[in-house]
Amino acid sequence: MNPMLASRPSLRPLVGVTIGLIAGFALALILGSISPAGFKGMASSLVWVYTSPAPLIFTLTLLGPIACAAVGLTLAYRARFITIGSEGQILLGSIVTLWLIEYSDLNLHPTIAIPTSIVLGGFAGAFLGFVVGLLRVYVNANEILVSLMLNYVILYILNHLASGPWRVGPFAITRSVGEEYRLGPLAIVVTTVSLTLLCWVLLTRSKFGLAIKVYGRAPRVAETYGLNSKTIVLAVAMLSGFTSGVGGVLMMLGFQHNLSPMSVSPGYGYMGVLVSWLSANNPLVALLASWFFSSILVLGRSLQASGLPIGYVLAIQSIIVLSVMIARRLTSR
Amino acid sequence: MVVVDYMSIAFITSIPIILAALGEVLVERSGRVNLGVEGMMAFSASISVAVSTLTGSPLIGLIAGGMAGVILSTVYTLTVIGLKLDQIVVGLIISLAGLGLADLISSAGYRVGYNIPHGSTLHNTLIVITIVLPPILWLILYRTPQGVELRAVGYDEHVARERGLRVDLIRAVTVTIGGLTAGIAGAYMALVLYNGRYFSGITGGWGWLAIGSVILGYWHPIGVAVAAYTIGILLTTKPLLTSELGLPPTLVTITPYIAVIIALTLVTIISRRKPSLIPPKPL
Amino acid sequence: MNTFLSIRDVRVVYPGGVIANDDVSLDIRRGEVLALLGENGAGKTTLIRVVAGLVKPVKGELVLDGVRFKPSSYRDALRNGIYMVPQMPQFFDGLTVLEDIMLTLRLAGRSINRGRLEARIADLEGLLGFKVNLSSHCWSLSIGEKQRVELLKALLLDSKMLMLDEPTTHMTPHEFNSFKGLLRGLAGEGRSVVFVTHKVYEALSVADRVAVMRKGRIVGVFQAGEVSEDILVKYMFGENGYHRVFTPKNYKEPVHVKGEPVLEVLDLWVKGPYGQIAVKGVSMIVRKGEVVGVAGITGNGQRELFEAIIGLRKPIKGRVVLNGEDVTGRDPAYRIRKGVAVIPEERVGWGLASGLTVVENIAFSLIPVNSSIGRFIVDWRKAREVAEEVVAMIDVKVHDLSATIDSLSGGNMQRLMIARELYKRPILIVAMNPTGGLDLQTSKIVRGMVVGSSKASAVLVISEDLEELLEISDRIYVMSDGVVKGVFEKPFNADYIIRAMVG
Repeated sequence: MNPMLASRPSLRPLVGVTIGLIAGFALALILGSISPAGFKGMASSLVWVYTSPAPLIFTLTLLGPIACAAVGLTLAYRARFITIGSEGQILLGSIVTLWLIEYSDLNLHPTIAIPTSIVLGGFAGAFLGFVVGLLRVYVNANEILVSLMLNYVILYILNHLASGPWRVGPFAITRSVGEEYRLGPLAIVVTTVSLTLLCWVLLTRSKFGLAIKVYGRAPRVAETYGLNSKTIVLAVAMLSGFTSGVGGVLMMLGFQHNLSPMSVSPGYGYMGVLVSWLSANNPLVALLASWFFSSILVLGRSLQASGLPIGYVLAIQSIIVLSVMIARRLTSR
Repeated sequence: MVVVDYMSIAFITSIPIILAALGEVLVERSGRVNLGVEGMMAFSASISVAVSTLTGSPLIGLIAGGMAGVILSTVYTLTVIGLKLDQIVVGLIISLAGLGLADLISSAGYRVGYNIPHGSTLHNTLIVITIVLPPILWLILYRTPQGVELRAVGYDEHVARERGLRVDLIRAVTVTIGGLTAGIAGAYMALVLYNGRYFSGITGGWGWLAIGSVILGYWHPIGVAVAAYTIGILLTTKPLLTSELGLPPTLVTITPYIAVIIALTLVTIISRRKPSLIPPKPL
Repeated sequence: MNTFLSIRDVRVVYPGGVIANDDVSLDIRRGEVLALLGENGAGKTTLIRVVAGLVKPVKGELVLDGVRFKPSSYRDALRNGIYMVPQMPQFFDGLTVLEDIMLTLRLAGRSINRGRLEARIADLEGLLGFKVNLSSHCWSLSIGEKQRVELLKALLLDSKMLMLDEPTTHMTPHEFNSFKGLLRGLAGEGRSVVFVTHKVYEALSVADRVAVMRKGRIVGVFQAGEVSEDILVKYMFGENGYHRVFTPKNYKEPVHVKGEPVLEVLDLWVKGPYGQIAVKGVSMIVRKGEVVGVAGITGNGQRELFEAIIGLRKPIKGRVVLNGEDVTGRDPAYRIRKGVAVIPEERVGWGLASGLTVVENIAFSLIPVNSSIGRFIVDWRKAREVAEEVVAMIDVKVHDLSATIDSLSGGNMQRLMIARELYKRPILIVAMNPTGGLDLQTSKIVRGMVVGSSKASAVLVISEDLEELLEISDRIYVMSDGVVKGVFEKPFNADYIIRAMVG
């Protein structure tokens, strides 16, 4: 069975998942101790992340973009639309937010600016998704490659803005969003949970969700029995783009606050992709898994000063997902 | 003269894309796709710098880089070909994990190693290999029985299994070769293009450009090499275009990525017109 | 010993429990043509696939030249001089014919240089009396051409035993005569030829011996010269079978008061998957209250016709008219809303979505039709009730409606799918090979469902099973090479129909 479309957990795979999680996490942490942070650093940080209030709250803050991307991707992946574009969509959502609040001369009041940016950021992401979906539907261009290429395009546009037109002062950095526009962990969690519930209802309760599942499992069945495949693909492309775009808004208003050029994308979108796979494309499980991955990100950030490269966070998460997939496969035999 | 210079610089720059793409051609011709190229390249770039630092030999660094690619490709072989896990998921995981592991290794203190200088024997050897490899691969794929078997597996796995072809073995071999070429490509980036240095994000999406050029070149070794070289030209002419033509640098930077997107759509349109050009079924 | 291969107590059980070979024993001698005769689903193909190493028996053994022979793959069989030509030979679409031939030779452990190979092929072409374009791609070959290439490969390999699965389906009577001579010649060289067929006269005119299979068993082996057609037919179908098929007891007078035309296909031209024109100017009419059959050998444009009628494939010319309305440019959803029910030839992946539950598999098909299961949000309680009604229409116990569809047997899946389509009270039912892959018992039930539904609807059945069409149809169109070669009304003359199919 295809792990990306797996559903209906029973006890046996649950055991496999647990073993996979623990084994993968342990392996990744042990590997990580070759960095200057060392094994001791890794271990003490691990305890700290799950026991102290500050990292627990920070986990909820960082959760926003990861979870938003992941829950939207569950819909896309159920329809076998394998977009990896969340990374670029998150960046675009954050660019749009920064523009609206700091560079648009609109000077909106926060009560208007915040909801507007959520809608605008969402639509920006949906637009990117729409482009990818359109190319897939009408010229059958592979959505994995197209969406990945767009990620790089958006990254370079961001770098261009931060080092050129939007730059303030001697360093390549933009203005920061004002204090009054920033979102706390509560607002982030509320937004994220709402999106999760929306995706969950769409997937399990709506006719559209049923159509997604049928198309994902058997495209020919969907076409034969009058479920419009083009509409389904375009819809999931835009929906997953929308949630990722909102994730970008949460990133900007929640913790990023400004932009500066980066050689490597921050990776929240890629984490969303991993989370979606880990959750077997179940939005509720994805929310939980996002929390877990967010906590790993907090762990990685806390060790940055002592020498653990932040890029290693994605490796930890990848190893966990692979380990869970292997364990699931071995226990289901 | 300027043009010729740019063409040869472009070739030297595009060598990693060509090498990685040629390995991926074999993988996709055998009916699989390994999306881990980007990660394999980054990982081997980092390993090659570390090993060249430790041994003082860029040659050993290069070989270690190739081996690093093979190691990551073995993960693919074991999980996708062995355990039948989803090839897309595993490929992307290898990419993401490879990038992270590369950063991890360099964090242990291996950021600057010994480089392979331009014009050195080793560099020239790599150039020659890159030039002769496409026709050799073409010969192997189209003129040897092994090549016919490999392509047959890519056309129809089911029929191949029924006829008794060793599908999994053939794929394991191509994936391993793909790992080796991606590994050498990554090591080349670090040891030649960046003078023996590793930094986070060194591969900058070139692995993905390699995968894009496989489709662009329509799964034909020579076509793919030409496609990868064309992308290399786009990458190297950036300073020329910005200084001489006054184009904004961002616009120029994103050109190769946009070009791949456009090419992906064109290829589909072309293959729709010419159904006789049947590509393998990797995806 | 004159025996080349001995099959001993071979038993094959397919997943789902169908016993395809029930303790079969058979000796195949050197220098003989042995016909393996039986109706569709008797187990002939399975048996030769066991010998070719493609199917593993659960019990029994093969003895080759007095030595126990356990082929683990097709390759093993090849290397032991056994060559099977399947009914639908499978080639690698992207390879050239020469490459495909070289690949097979290599599998058999022969390496031969290209020039010598081409010379050998030219020799054999002279012997066989046909030419093959070695540099054309395999996808462009017709099924008949593919069979010829297979024959060529068998001779190139100098195979000791040749097994041919329904090789004559694509031959004209004239071609059959020269083919017969070829097979006799091969046997004359001391080779064994196994000739699988469901045509009695072919078996008698080609073979030295005829082995008759029915329901997975060998029911009799005869010397061709010492047995009559009538006896063979009796063995093939059992005591009552023959009459059931060709002159149905439940034969009813043609209905003179014909219903309204529900489906009209007018001068339809449709392209196939490779851009070739697969349907060439087909016209047909299906009225309310009748079952119309489309007969023909697989691959003569039936699938494209089916897809054009249900809206999956756009015709290049012509019209599809449903209840007087031109729906040619309409999508499947529109046609389904107008009352078209679709029974495609593949259950899983075309009719039903694997991995989804029984309820989901019923509910999704109602999405374009009505809003009784909810406008936007699915009313799952209502959907469940509908599923229960659908299941009640068939005599099948589905214990758990929330179980995935994959937990059902093939037969039950098929019945469930048909019931789901009938539940929609369609005005037109379009079915393709509705009993393909089903055991005889289930096939009978399915046919009953199809015929029963014709009371309220117009029914179009496209089938490769002629006997099935003879049994259930009121009228039969015969398709060959994309063209309607004949329209037959009851009572049918099977011989004429067969001639139209191959001519």
